[in-house]
Amino acid sequence: MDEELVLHKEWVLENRFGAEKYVIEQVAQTVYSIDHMSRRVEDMLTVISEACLNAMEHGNRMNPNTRVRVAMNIRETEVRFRIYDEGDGFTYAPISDKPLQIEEECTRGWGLFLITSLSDKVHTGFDNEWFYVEVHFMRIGGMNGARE
Amino acid sequence: MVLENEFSISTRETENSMILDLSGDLTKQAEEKLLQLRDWDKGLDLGKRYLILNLTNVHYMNSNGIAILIRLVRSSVRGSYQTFAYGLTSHYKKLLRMVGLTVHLMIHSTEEEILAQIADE
Repeated sequence: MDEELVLHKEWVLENRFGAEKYVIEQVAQTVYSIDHMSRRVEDMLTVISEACLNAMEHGNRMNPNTRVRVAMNIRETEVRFRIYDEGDGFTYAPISDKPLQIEEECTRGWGLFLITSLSDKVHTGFDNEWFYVEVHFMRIGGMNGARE
Repeated sequence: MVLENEFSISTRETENSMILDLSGDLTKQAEEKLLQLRDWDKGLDLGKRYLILNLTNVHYMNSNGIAILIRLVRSSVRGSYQTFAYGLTSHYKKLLRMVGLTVHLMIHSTEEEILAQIADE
């Protein structure tokens, strides 16, 4: 059974690096205003930032004529974000926590690793013509007297 | 709409270390400024053995910034000097620990702690 939606917000970003900072400021203000004790805000902000960067660079291929959308849904026991782009999408697979090999030149990006590691659930899909990455943050104990 | 805070670097020297004071956003824009400041693979001037990164005024870092730090630390291994950092928030310390960089990048709370440690070495 779906929990009651406490708050829904959406933002549309230009497809350029740095635009994600506006959204993460807005998310921080919103989450702190609802639960000033939330200890997961920084994790959320990093995940959103990384998902936006991936959307801009890999999804939209840095095309300035495209957009990234971010949707936030806050419920009693979880916060969900969807980060949309106009690209062809990718098949999500969990990233293994392979140790950094400092001696090796590696072109691996760390964005997806951070998204996977900091959020509680990740999945992808299509909504009309938008590809999205959806991330979940569970809130143990719910909104009131939450213990995180 | 907030965009990136320009990244900048200033440098200081001690007897046995080079200190980089970084400010602004540690993102892709920082790559050229930081990695092309010098040939990091070739070691530090005058045989100095320690590179210290002051991140006190870096308030935003993303995975591109982390990748830059990885490349810098990789160069320090090749150039036979050790890299330290201070001024990181708890969250960014956590991220660097998660990607495994803290095995090679020693993180302290203050510059004084680092200078005291390397003075003893």
